[in-house]
Amino acid sequence: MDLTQTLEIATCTDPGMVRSHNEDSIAADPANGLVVLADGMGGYNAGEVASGMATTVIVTEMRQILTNAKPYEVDQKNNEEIAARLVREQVLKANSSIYQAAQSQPQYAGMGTTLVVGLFYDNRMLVAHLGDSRMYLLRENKFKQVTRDHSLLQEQIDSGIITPEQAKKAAHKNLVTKALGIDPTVEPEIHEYPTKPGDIYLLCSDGLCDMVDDEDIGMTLQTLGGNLKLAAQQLVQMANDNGGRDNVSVILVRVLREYPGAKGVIGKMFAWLK
Amino acid sequence: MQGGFWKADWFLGVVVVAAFALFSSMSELVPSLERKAYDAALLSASHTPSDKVAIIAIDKQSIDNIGRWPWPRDLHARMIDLLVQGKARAIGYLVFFAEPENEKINRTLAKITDSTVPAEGQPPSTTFTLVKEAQDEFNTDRKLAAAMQRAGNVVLPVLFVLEAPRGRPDQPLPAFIRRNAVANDGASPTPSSALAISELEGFGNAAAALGHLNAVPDVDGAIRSEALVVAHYDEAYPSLSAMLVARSLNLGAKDIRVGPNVVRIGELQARTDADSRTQTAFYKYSGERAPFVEDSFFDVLNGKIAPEKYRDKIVLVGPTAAGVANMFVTPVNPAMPAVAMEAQAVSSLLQEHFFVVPAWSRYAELGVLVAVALYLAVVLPRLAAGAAVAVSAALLVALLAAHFLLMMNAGLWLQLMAPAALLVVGHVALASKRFIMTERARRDADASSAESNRMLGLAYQGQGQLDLAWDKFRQVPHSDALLENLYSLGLDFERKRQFNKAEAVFRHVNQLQPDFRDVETKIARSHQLSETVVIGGAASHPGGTLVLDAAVEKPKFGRFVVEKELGKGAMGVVYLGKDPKIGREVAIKTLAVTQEFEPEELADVKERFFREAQTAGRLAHPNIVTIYDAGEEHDYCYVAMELLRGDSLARFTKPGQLLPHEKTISIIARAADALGYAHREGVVHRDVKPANLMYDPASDTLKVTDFGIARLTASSKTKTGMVLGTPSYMSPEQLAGKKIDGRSDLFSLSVTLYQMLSGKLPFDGESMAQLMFRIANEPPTPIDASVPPAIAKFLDRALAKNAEERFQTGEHFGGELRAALAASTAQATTKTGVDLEL
Repeated sequence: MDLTQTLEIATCTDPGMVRSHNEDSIAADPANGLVVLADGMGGYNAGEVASGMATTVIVTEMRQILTNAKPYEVDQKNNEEIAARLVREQVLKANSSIYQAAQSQPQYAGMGTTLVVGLFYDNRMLVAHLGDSRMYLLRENKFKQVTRDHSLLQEQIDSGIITPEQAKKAAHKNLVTKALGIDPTVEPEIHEYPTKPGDIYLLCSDGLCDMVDDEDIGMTLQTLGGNLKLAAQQLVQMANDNGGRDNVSVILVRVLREYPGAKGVIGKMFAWLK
Repeated sequence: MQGGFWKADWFLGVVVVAAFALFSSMSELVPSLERKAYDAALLSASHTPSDKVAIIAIDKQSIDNIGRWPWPRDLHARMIDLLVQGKARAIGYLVFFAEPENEKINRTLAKITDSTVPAEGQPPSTTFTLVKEAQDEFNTDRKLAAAMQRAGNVVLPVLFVLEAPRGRPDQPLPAFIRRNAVANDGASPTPSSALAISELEGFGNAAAALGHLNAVPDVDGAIRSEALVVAHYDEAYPSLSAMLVARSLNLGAKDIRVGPNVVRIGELQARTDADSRTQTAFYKYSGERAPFVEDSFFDVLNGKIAPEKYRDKIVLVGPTAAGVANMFVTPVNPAMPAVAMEAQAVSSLLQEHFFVVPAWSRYAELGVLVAVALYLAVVLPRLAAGAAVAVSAALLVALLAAHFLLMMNAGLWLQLMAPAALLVVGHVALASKRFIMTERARRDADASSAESNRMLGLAYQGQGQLDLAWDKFRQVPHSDALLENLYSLGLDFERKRQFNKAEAVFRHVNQLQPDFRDVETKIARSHQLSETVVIGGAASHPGGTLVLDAAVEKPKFGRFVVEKELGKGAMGVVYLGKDPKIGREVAIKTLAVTQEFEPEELADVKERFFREAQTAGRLAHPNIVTIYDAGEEHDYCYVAMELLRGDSLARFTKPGQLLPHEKTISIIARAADALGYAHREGVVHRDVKPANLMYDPASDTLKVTDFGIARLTASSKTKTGMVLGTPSYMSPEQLAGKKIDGRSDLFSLSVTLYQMLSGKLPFDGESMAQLMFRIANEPPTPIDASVPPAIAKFLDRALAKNAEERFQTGEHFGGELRAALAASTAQATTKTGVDLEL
């Protein structure tokens, strides 16, 4: 099912004001409803290699698989949705690729990347993430964070050691507790949510949410939501205006209409009519 | 639309049309293209020249024979007389007789005659008669005029000054010209302001008619059309050709009527432009041959060509010789004398062979141009590149075909080259624009796909799929990061001992950037290795062989440097290795797992391999080979173990090479002790046989080797067809596939003992099945009589079918064996004693 007409996707990535390299990597496959954002880490270009490998491997592999697979179907064997399984498998594949490359090639030693993947299918959205790259959702003028960072800070907030207010001033913002390519294996956090026409999903690297308050991001999306491309550029611009200390990457996805996982000819007809 | 309308295809189409219109209105390029197309079509048309037209040429031959030009006019008079005699239908005399000839002489002679006119009734004086004769002789003009008068069908040329008059004429044209004026009914012929060259009044009156000889060249200097009528103020005068045609039809100026787009000569209709011009259909030269034969004036004059040849023909007399004749450029001949051109015009008129520019042509041309413009602006941008080329080409062909077909079949000239040119220019412009745009897009796409190819390559390399990685890297354009990746891929290939691939990778690196690190050396080395090493696919020996070349860095297994190949064992090749840190020599047994096992069982096999290595590594016993290390490298699993001197016991199993009984038993007893220790440690050997018992006669040491490892090969799926060679040493329970313990090892050891004592196996069979049956069911073959009975008895128990009936532990086995030996020795001694006593 081609989602090109169903999803409007705008992307923007920028090295920011301080760094010379862009270690973020973004990729989108509108036809398959797949968006991937990765924020690499590791010295001497290794970060961009890690993030690049992550997005490329996931998008390439998923594209191949999704041409034949029906993500909304349920695997009979373990009662798991195919979509979740596919995403997990590809994340793991990317993980081992990066890990092996880091192990075997000295110039890439220690590289890794955060990851947030969104897969849209059957009026649903599946999000998998690792680390502190985030997904937000703007629905009916309410802006909220969808993912929960895998970071030391988040854990401290969760355990009540510090308050969110203190967290904003915390020094160790960038310590992530999970990442792709660091260990031989990794378990991505995967959730699935129903979507509604009009939803705007924002995937961003910490370069945006560290630099711009969530309220400001939400306001910008509400104001400029009509022009996603402009909104994406504006968000990057805001991060840069506030210092742009890190690479900034933004993917915006707007759901234009319903996209049920068509079942049979009549279902397809309905989908087409909508 | 993103990027503004000026990037849109339709906008470019409009711009191209506008630019083309501007350009073609300012430049001669398009009209000259039209003319070229006109000439091409004209030459393709097949009109036959009229046989009613003849040319008498005042050519070089005539001038050479008759004398220099101009000739005395009585010659022309003779020619006219000759033609009259030959009954020519009409004579066009393309020579201007504008000045009187011999005027001074005639005047002088006239004065003399005047003064010597005889009085009335007086006979003329001799002087008068002579002068009168001379006067007749010299007054050639009169002769010529008389000849013309006699002929009555001579048409003479006049030339007008072709320019639009501004006022009234200086003086009216002479009457002999004005009598040639024709009726003009609404046409607007080419205007003229004055006479350029006229004829003498006498000739003008003597000639049947006069016609203008003005040629109207195009911008490029070529004559394509003829002005059938030239206007002089309110009057219109037909051309020489028109007059000749009229004359030949016995018509006169009164019968020529000029209308809009048509000139009628009697019933003959010449379709013309609005300015009464026809597009003459020029007749082709076939090779060098002119369409109209040009007879030499001289030949006709002296009778070489009979005047009868010109019967009923329109004869054109005029100069063709260089220097005398006026030459014109025409589509068929770049230097055509006026007389030949006139012949073309007459023939064309006579047979109504014209090309006509119809009155509606301008609208039609404009319509086609607009259609092409619309196509460029509206249709073309919507077509795919291939379809666009096809449609444009078809349109172009259609335009050209229309042009040629109209010209050749209907004689209509539509100027279609402008639309054709617009079509080509517009298409090229649009295609170029698209190409530039797509190229830019492709460059962007290339850059991003290059990066993703590199990433995929890295990913594949990380997953160990080196060939796929190589495939991806090869698609990436040169960059520093790529060189690093390629270099490391090359190293990976080397590690996998795929030297030919490593070489290819290094060569690629060298190509991208010569002298990158030590890539030259790497190439040389990989090349050398790829030629000498036989490694790889399933076709090669399952063990694979690392060829060891002194010139090359020695391969390593783990930390052990491989020194040389020792031989091929049960699993694979055994190498002599050396621990470079402590200098200890080791034996490295290898198992080419990737070649031996299916990919899906690989992980399982490796796990078992290391588990076995681990359990064997736990064993520390003087009679068990020490394991130093185990690992995995270049598709091999390996075990590094104590390097043993000496040979396996297999050497001592053949009759004639047997060791003394005492030695054999001592060795086997030690093996039993070692097995007993291992069994207590929970390790079962599973493959006890002479080949796995290493004995060094020099130091009298025995070592049991290959604990557990051999079992791996047995489980290989690829090897199911071959099983394990002969199961001669297997215990019944092992054959039956039951779970086995140490007692099975002891059974195997007993078989070994039996063989080493007697040089024969206890169980033997013609076939595998028979052998297995005997091991499972039949008692062993009674042992050689030389073996002491105590030992034989020991063996009977040790080879019992039921494990419960055998010696239960290695220690017990060893103890009993030693005891049996002692007993038999004692017995032998006593026997000897007895014998001695006897």
